[in-house]
Amino acid sequence: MIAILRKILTKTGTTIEKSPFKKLLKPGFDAADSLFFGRPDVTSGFPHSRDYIDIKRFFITVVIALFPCSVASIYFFGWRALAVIATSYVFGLAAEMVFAIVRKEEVTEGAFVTCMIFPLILPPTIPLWMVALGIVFGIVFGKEVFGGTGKNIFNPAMVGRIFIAVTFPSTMTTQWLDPIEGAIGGFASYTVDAVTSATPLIKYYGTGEMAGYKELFFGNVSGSLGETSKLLIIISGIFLMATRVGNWRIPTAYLGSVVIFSFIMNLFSPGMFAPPLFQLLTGGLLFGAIFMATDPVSAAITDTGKGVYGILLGILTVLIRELTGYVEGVMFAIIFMNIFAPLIDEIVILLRYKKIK
Amino acid sequence: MIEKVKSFKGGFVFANLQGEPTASIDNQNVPEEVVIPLKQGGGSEVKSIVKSGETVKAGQIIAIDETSLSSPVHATISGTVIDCERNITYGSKSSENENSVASVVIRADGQESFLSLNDIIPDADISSIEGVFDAIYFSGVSSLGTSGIPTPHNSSSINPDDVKNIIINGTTSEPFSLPSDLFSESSRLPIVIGINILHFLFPDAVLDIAVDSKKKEIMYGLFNLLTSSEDEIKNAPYADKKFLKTVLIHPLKSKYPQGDESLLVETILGDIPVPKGEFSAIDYGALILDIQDVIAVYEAVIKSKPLIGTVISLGGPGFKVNQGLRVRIGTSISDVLKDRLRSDMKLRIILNSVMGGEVVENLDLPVTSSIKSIIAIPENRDQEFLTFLRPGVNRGSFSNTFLSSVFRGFKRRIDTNLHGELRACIACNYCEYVCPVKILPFLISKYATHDMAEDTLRLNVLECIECGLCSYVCPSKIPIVDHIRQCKQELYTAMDEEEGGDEEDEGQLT
Ligand code: SF4
Ligand code: SF4
Repeated sequence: MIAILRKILTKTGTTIEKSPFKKLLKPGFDAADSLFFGRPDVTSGFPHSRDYIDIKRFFITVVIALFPCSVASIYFFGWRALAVIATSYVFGLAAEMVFAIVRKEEVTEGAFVTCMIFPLILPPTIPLWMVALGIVFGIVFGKEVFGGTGKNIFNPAMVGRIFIAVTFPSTMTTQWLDPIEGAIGGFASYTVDAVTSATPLIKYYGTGEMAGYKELFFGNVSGSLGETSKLLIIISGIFLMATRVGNWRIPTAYLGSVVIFSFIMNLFSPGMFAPPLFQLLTGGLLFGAIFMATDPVSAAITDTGKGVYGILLGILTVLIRELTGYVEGVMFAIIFMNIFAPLIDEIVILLRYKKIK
Repeated sequence: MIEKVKSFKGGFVFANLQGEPTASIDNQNVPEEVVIPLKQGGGSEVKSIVKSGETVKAGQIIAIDETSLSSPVHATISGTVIDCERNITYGSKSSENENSVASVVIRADGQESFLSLNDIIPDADISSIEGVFDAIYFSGVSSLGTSGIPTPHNSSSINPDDVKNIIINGTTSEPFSLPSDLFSESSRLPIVIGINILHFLFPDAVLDIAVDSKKKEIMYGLFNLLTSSEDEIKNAPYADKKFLKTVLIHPLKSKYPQGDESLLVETILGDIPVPKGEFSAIDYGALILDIQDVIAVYEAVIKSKPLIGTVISLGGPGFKVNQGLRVRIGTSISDVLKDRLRSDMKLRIILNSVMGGEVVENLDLPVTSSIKSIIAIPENRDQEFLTFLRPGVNRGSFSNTFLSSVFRGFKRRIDTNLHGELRACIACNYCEYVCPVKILPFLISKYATHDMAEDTLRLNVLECIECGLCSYVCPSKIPIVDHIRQCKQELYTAMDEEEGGDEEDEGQLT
C-alpha cells in the first residue's frame, strides 16, 4: 500500500516537474507529498538534532481534540452536521490551495484547524452554501490577505462567522434547533425537525428564564453545532493543555475573569448580569475560550501578554453580552481583542525590559 | 552539607536517549602515531622545543612558554618526532570559526611506559604550595577546566589568589556525557585527595560540588565520603578534616544546559553580572572543574603522572558500544572510531555536544583534552509514511503530543532529521518556555529576519548563551539560534565601530 502510494507520488512528481503546468500543480503536489511522507531535510549547523514535534502534528492535535465535539454535533443534530463539516473542508482547503498557487508557496496546515472550528460554531440550520461562502471569506479575508498563516491579525474562523452573522442576521440569530435526545440520538437521522427555539442565552435575555445547569453541561440544549456539550469541550480543553498544544494561560485567565467579573456585577445588578455559572455554561464561551481565543497567531504572543489578553477578553465578553444586543459576546470580544493583542505585547515587553538599558 | 535541590527556569531534560554511554571505560591501544596540537585548553599556542628526528619519551615536555598564557604540552607516546610544524585545522570552512594550530607529530616506538613527573622536575617538593603548583603546571593539568587552573606560571587568565570559588561539576545534563556513576567506588580516594589538594592550593576558595539530583547514591556517597571518619580519609595526603565538612554538595536538576558556565555559577552562587552571553566564570573568580579534572590533579601530584591521556565518551546510536574510552591525547579521531561505528547507516560525527558541537569533517584531527565526547547520530534522510501521525513511544518531544510522554520507559530516537518543514512562527511560546536566560527568542528571530538587529538589544539578545534549545523545540523548525547569532554579530560589529570611532575622535583632540 505504502510502496504503491510512494510510487504514485514519485511518478506524479516527475510528471509535474516536466509538465507545462508545473507552477500550477506544484504546491498541491508538495503538500500531498510532505503530508504523506514528510521531508528528507536534515539539520544544518546547530543544534544537530531537532524535536519530533512539527506543525502538522501540532495542528492535527487540535483537530483530534475537536473530534468529540464534532461527534456530539452529529449526535445532537443529525448527520447533516457532518455535511456541514465536509463542506467547510472542501471549500476551505480549495481556497487555501488557490492562494498557495497564486503565491507560489506551500499549503499551510493552519487551514485544517480553521475548517474544523468554523462549522462547529455555526447554527445547525445553516444552509450549506452559506458554510462554503463563510469559510472562503474567512480564509481569504481573515488570513490570506495578511500574508497567510503566521501573519494574520484575526482568527480566520471568527472572521467567517462574523461575516455570515452580519450578512444573514436572521439565520444566525433566530433559527435554532432543539437537539435530538435518546440513546442513538441523531445518528439515525439526517437532520432535526425544524423546531425553532432560541438558545438558552437568548431566552435568558428575552424572558429571564434559565435553562437547567445539567442540560447546559451535557449539551441537551439548542445552540451552535459543536458548542453545546460543555463536558466534551472541557475534556478536549484539558487534553489540549496536557499536550502543551493549547495554551493554558488564555483559557484560565479568560474563564477566570468572566467568573469574577460577572460575580461582582451580578451582586450589584442581578437583573442585568447573569450569574457566573450560567455565563460559563451558555453560548460559545467555553468553546471560544479553549479553541478560538487560543488561536496561536492572532492572540498576544508573549506568555505574560497571553494572561492579560485572557483577562481583558473575559471582561469584554461579559460587557458585550449584557450591555449590547448581541448575546454572543465571545465572538466580538475575540475579534476586538485580536486588534489589541500587539499593543498588549508591546506593553509587556516595555515593562519587562524597562530596567535594562 | 547537602543543599536543597536547585535549578534554573526553562531548559529541557534529554532523558532516555538511544546510545547513552554506560558507566564503563575501555582502553584504546597506544596509537602508531599521534598529532599533538601545541595549544591546550583555552591557552595560547606555544612553540615546540623539540626538533624533527628527535626521540621523545611519553610524558616529556615538548613545548613550554611561561611568558604566554599557556600550559606545557607533553609527548603522549614514546617515539620519534617526524614533524614539528604540521598545521591542523579545526572547525569547518563553512562555519566561520576556522582556525589552525601548529602541532607535533610523533611516530610510536611501541613502548607503553611514560616518564613520571619526578623525571621532569626532579627537585619538586610537593609538600610546599609552590611544589604542588609546579606539579600541576609541569604535568599539563593546569590546562584543564573550562579556562585552565590558575598557577604562578601564567596558566590561566587570573592569579591563584583571585580564585574565590571552586565548582566541581558532576552534573550530566548534556546528552551523551559520561554518567557520573563512573566516578563512584574506585575513585573515592582520588576525588577526596584531589579536593584536598585544591584546598591546599586555594585555601580561601569555597568549594562546591554539583551533582544530579536524581543520582541519590552518588550524592550520599559523596557526602559520606566527605564526612567520613575512616582513617583512610582522615589521614589522606593534604587532609584538612574541618575543611571537607564545609564542602557543599548541590543537587541540581539534570536539565540541559545546566553545565553552561553562567548557569552553573548562577544556580550555585546566585546572581552574576549580565550579559550572560559573555560571562566568563574564571574572570568572576570561579574555577569550574569536572570530576575527571579533579582525578587528574590527584594523579599529577600524588602519582607524578603527566597529562597524556583523557577519557572521552562515545555517545549516540551510531556506535556499536556506547561507553567511555581512555585514549592518549593526539590519537586521531579516525583511530578512535575505527571498528566502533555501525556501518549500516550514514552517520554524522559531532564533537562534545549534539546541541552546539562541531561536526567533524576531517577525521584525522587529534583527540585533545577539551574533547569530552564524540557523538555519532544517524544522518536520517528517510521519508517516513505519515510521520506526523505516529504514536511515537520512542520520540521525545517538548510537547506532550507523543506517547513517549506517557510511556517513559522507551529509549528515544535521535537523528539529524528536521522532523518537519519550515513554517511561519505560530507563537506557541515553546522557545520562550525553554530559554534558560528568559529572553524572547521568537521575537528576536522575527526582528532579525526583518533586518532590525539593533532593536534586539533592548530585548536582551546579548544574554543568550547559545544553548540551541529554542531551535530544538520549535515546531515550525525556525533556525532561531542562527538568527540570534547573526543579531549578536551585527551588534558587536556596530559596537566595535562605535568604539573605533571614539578612539579616532580622541586622536584628533590630542
Ligand atoms: S535564546 Fe539563546 S539562551 Fe535562549 S534558548 Fe535560544 S539559544 Fe538558548
Ligand atoms: S517555538 Fe517556534 S513557532 Fe513557537 S513561538 Fe518559538 S519561534 Fe514561534
